[in-house]
Order: sequence, then C-alpha cells, then structure tokens
Amino acid sequence: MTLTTPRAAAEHDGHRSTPEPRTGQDRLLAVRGLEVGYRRARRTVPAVRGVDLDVAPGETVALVGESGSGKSTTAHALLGLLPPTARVTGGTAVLGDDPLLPATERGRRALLGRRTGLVPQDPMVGLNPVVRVGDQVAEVLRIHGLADAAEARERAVEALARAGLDAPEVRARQHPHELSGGMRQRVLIAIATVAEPALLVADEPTSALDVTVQRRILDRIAELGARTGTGVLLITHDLGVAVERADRIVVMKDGLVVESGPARQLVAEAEHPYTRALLAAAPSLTTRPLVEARPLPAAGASQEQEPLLALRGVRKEFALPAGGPRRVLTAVDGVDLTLVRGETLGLVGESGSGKSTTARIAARLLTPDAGTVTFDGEDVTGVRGERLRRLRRRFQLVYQNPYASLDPRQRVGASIAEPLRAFGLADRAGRAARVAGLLDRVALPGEVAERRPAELSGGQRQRVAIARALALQPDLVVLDEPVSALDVSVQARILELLVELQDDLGLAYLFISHDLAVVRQVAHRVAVMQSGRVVETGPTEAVFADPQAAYTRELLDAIPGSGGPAGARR
Amino acid sequence: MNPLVRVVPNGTARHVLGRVGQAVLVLWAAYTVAFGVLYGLPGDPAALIAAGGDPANSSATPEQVAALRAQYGYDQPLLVQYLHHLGAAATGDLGVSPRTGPVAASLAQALPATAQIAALGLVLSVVVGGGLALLATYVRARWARQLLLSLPPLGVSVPTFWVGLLLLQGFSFGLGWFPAFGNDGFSSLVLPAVTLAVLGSALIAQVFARSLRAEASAAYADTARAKGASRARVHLRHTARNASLPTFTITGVLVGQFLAGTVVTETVFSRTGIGQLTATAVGTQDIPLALGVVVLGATVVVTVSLVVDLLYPVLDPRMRRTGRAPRRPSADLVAEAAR
Repeated sequence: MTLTTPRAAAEHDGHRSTPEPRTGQDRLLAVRGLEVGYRRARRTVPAVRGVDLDVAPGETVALVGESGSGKSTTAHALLGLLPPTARVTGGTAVLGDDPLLPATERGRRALLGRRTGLVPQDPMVGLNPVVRVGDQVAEVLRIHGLADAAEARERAVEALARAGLDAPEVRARQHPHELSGGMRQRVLIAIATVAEPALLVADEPTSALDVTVQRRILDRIAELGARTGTGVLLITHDLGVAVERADRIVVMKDGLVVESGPARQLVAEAEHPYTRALLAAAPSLTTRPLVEARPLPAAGASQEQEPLLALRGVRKEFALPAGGPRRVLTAVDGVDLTLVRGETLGLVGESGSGKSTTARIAARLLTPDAGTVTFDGEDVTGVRGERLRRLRRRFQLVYQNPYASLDPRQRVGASIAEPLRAFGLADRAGRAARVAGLLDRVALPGEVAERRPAELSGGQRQRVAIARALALQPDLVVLDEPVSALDVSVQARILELLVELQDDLGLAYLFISHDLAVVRQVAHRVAVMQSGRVVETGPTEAVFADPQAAYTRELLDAIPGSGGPAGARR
Repeated sequence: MNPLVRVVPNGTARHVLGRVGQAVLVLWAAYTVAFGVLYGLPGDPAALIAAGGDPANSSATPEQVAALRAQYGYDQPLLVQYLHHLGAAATGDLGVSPRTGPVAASLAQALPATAQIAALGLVLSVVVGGGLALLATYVRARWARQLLLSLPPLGVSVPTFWVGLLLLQGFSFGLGWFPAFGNDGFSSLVLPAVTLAVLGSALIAQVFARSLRAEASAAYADTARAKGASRARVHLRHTARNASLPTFTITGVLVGQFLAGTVVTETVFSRTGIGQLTATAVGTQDIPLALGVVVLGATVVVTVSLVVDLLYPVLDPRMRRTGRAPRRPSADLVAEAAR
C-alpha cells in the first residue's frame, strides 16, 4: 500500500502531477484527472477540476472539504449519480480492471451495487418509504441476478444483522418510517454491503446522526471494510472524523486536491494553509474555549445573582396524532434551569432529548403543562396577549437553518427591520440607520441590506438572522443549533461573533446544540438532557473534565478525536 | 419504541367511525344548504306546478293553486317542511316531483347510463393520463419530453363541449364509426367517455408527472440507482409508486366529478342520465328533483373521498400507524416518538 503521496505536488495552483505508479494488485480505485462541470445558463461551471484519487483494497481514504469543494460531486460522478445539470467533462476512473469512467451505462450499472456500494448522506430520505426494508436490501441481489427471491431474502436478513440491526427478521418486514435514523443508516449500510462490494463509498454517512449513533455507524463501516478487504472512500466535512477513521486523507478545495497524505502525518505536518485552517476550525479537534479568555460574569454567579431566566419543574406533553392508538409523548419532564445576565448556558442532548422543546418553553413559544418560567424576577408562565408581546422584545430566537428562517422574497434590510416595525419603534429613516448599525455589528457590509437571502452564503444569512434577533436589544437570545448547518470554518467565525456580541452587549445565551465540541467553545455552564430530563449540569470545564452522569461520558466519548474507545483504535 | 410514549388504547376502528361520522355530517350540511337555497327562493312553487312550469300562461284558479300548495305541504312553515323532507330523505325517500314522479326512482333510472360513461371515462383517464406521465418523465430527448409535458395543460384548458362537438364531427358525421347520440350499446359510450377522459387524463397526467419529476430527484431514487438498478426499474418500481399517492387523490375527485357532473357531455351527445336530469330539473324549476340531484352528487363525492381516505393507508405504509398524515403538533416530535 502506498502511503507516501507526493506532497510537493499538492500546491495551491492545482494538483495535476501523476501520482506514483501502483502495481496491479494493490490498486482498487484509480481516478485520473476527473473533471465535472455544472451547466448554468448556457455556461459550464467547473465543480471538479482534475482530481486524482487512489484507493487500495482494505484502505480507507477520506475525501475532506467544505461545501462546494467538489468532494461529493467527485463521489457522485464515480457512481453515475450526478444530477441532470452536471456532466463529466474529462478524466478516467478504473475499478479493479473495469472502467468506471468513461463507461457505457450498461457497463457501469453492472458494477454499481455489486462491486461498489454507496452509503448516502441522509438516512431519513435515503430509503423508499413504501417498500419494506428487507426487500430494499434484497433488491441489490435480484438486480444483479446473484440470488433467487428466497435466497435474496435470507441474505438480506443476514446483511441487516451484519450491519448491526437487532431482530433483523422483524426489521426486514418493517417500513422505513418505523425505524430511527440510526437504524435506517444501518439498513443503507446493509444495502451497500449485501453484495460484498470491493469499494464502499460513504458520503457524509453520519452527519445527520447523533454523536453516539455516529460513532457506532463509523465503527460498523470500518469493521465491514476490514472483514472483506473492502476499500472505503469516506466523504466528510469533518477533519476530526477523517483523522480518526482514515488511513489516508485527501483535502479538496474549489474542485482541486490541495493536499493529501497519511492521516496522522497530515495532521502533524499540514503544509497547505487551507488544511491548517480546516484543522484549526474543526470543532472536534480544538480545545480552545472561546469564552475562557474572559472572567465569568461574577464567578458562581448563578447561585447568588438574581437569575434572568429560571425554569422550575417544567413539564410538557404532546398528544401524538389521533387515529391509531392514542399516545402521549412527554417531551420535557421536570426540568430546572437558570441563566444569569451575560452568561451562556449550553443545553446539549441528542434528538428527542427535549432540548428544543425546553428552549421553546424558555422563549415562551410554548406554555408548559406544569412548572414555572420566571423572567427577570417576574413569573411569565401564563402570560399572554399584549403582555407576552411586550415580553417578546426581551428575548429573541436564532434558528438552526438560516436558509429557511429568512423570508426569501424580503430584502435583508426589511427582514432585520421587521421587529422594529412590529413594535412601532423608529421611523423609516431611523429604522434604516438601525439596520445599518446592526449589519455593522455582525460584520456585514451595509449594502447587504439591499440584497435578498438567496444572494448570501449560509454564514452571511446566519449573521443576518443574528442581526434581526438583536434589533430589539434583547436581554436573552435563544440559539437553537445556530451553527450546525454551516461549514466548520464559517462555524468558528459565527461562534466568535456570538462571544464578541455577548461581551459587548451583556447578552445571556441559551445555546442549544447536539455538538458538545461547539458547546465547549462558547458555554460557561452546560446542562445535559436525556429523555426529557436534565441529567447533569455544571460549569463547562468541570463537566467536560469530570463528567458525573454515565450519559454525559457516553456523549463525550463519542466526539471524534476525543480519545474515547473509538479514538483509541489507533 | 420510545419509552417516553404512553400508549392510550384504541385504534383503527375509531378512526373509521370518526371518518364515517364526518362524511354523514358533510352530507347533512349539503342537504341543508341546498334545501335552504331551493325552498327559500322567492316564487310560488304551487303556482309553477299549476302552470306546468310557465306561470305567465297559468290558467289555474287561486283555489286550485291553494289545493296544490296544501298537497305538497308548501303552506307549512319552512322549518316544518325541512324537518319533514330531511326525515324522509334519511330513509331514502327523496320526495315526489310534480312532473316526473318519485325523485328516487328517476335518479335510479338515470344513474346506470351516467355510471357507464363515467366508468369508461375513468378507465381511459387513468390509463392514458398515467401512461402519458410515465412516458413524458422517462424519455430522454428534451424535445419529446417537452412535447409530451405540454399535452396535459392543453387537455385541461380546452372546453368540454368543444371537444365533444369535435369528436362528433370527426367520428360520427365524418367517419361514421360511432353513433352521434343515444343510449344504445357500447359504441354509444365511446365518444362521451373519450370527451370526459380528455379532461380526466390531462388532470391525472399533470399531477402524476409533477410528482414523478419530484420523486426522481429524491434521495431514495439515488440509493436505487447506486444498487445498479436500470432507469426503467427506478422509474417504475421506486418513483412511480411514491408518485402515485397524490394522483390517487385526484382520481377520487374525478370519480365524483364524472358521476355527478356530466351535464355538458350528456347534453352534447343527447344522452339520458344524471346530467340531463339536472338540466331538466333546473330548466323546469323542479325543486324536489333538483334537490334530489344535489343529494346524489353530494353522496357520490362524500363516499368517494371516504373510500380514498380509508384506502390511503393501504398504499402508503406511513399512514397505517396514525391513520392520517403526520403533520400535527410538530412533525419532528412525531418522528422522534415513532423511533
């Protein structure tokens, strides 16, 4: 196996040198000079500009980059899954002795599923909702004529078991909606591996999953790869995952390979500034808390100082839709939380833990079934009507998805000014001045006010959403996964902005995240939620250094590069 | 199963009962509104009856009109009349038309002819519309795809009577393949059914093609392609099944429309049937008959949508657990709870 990739060739201006020759046996996938373009308004915009890539049998190669780097396009081009607007404009790819690119449709179809397997990005939408999962796994064998119907069914159940599903016979007869995200991802792994392919392409296989599930899925892919000598091409935006899981790492930017090499060597001696920037920004690898540099707003303040926000014994149930058996979901079950001015409380937990419901109660978007919500010394649990409206000025929300939370038809300036208009604050000229000031506050140029959200990047949109939240000069901002939809380097800049704003304006943040590494960077205190309850709460450093609850330890171990069980693999 | 979810008893039976109850309520509301409009209108129905539908030429004496008024109960307060008729309607007695006799019998007599062209029209709509949509989204050539996809909007926008007249001109008077009017035999069904199917297939093709295109770019379609599935297999086995769900709803709407509203088609082809009965009832201001037609139409529409609703879970396994689309308090919570 060749681990020494010519680093000197990985210069900024494109990586066009011929990689070292490989012998026939240890080469599984060889991509040379791959070029892919997207058709836009009669022009072809290059997305992949001459990529060379090799995967040896049994080797895991991570293709790392941010959105728009061309990493997913590269993988999709290899598997013939490009959207109709994209076209391979050059280059070759060989899988073993079979041509993958260029290839006839029939020739490629004979390889797909049998010699290659794809683990797609989002398990929630990757399975056909109206077909039983066992049949979806068996279909691979039926398409390639590898088994008759009965045998295919049996082998599908075996593949489901190997992918780590318990009770595979039962699962095989279920439909996708009856399975959780992690279970669906296992089904997709079973589909990808049932024909024992030579190459497994995993396209961000875990980015839609909770950390603990993420770790088990990656373990499973590694095990299956090791068992059959399958080569794995792992596409990821997270350098932390790549370092932990891959033998070799290939870093892509703007459709070019900027650097590649053995995983550990790449981390230790990254040469390209972009690789170094990615390493610095990867939250799972960074240990530098952004809030460490400044004193806590009065140490131990949460006990002494009058809390800005206090939840006491808060409980919320939801009736699940009628029709079938009537069920009640207890989303939040007796939660106590306090938050003082100028403080960030990180609320962490996996999906379904009740953290978002808690946040919605804290922002008085939901009324709890039991318990009290106190804001600035005033009981606001049952406040409604005009009083609630006035209260709204003092706490604001920033949502997870900046692509959905801004009105696409409204100019950015109008979006930011809307809260001011709603409360009748300032006249037209005064509002324009406020908008300019707020844009400046979030480090956006003033001309952005005239643009529409579609013209902005994800990071810029999230800055706009933050500016809108700040328009009414709130005391408390509830941040619901504010950076999880953003690339890592953008993430870091948004987090820095949030900390800076907090310092300047004395804001209190309720910071909701499933990503412990992000919380560690910005939170003064952390509350860990599981199944509707707070299982642990305390100062961030104390919780991270010496977690008390078993669940917290599990969450911490699951962070890539944390040195937990998975990290100890190498 | 999420341990946070408490199971409170009961299931499908209650859903079905609830849905049937809703259907009955809609039916009652339709009857009441129609009754209010028809009986509340100004004008003296007894005078109309006495005049044989033409009050200007009436030769009836006031005494004769009064006798008729008493005979049909028009002298009673409106509420009493309403309760009387509603009670009778609930037992299947839709009253008596002064011109055509018992309304229920007239409807029963007219229904088979309409049902025949509706059934044939529906089969043609599903086959032609479904086939067109499948073909239009499968062909690779851009021009062919554009051409096929432009047909449904055309079919929706041409007026029904014009299509009917065109077919008559071409196939009856011109080629002489089919009779131009009448109710005898299968050959007399063809042109009216085709006329209905032009609209029906266009609607189905429009909805189906749109869903097919959306589903083709769904992630599960990529999963199927990555298995090595051929285009045809992805198209027919994966995307078509999912895309057929909204189409099923449209088809249900068509059934109601065809059975209850074929006035234009039946008039163009001079066929007897519900549509022609509707035209007669309105033309002669025959209040009991008009009410009967409204009740029949409402019954058909309500029944079909009830059947569509109850069949949905058979087609879409996601509906089986809850019996309806999971979009109440928060879809996320429901999805989480289902884990």
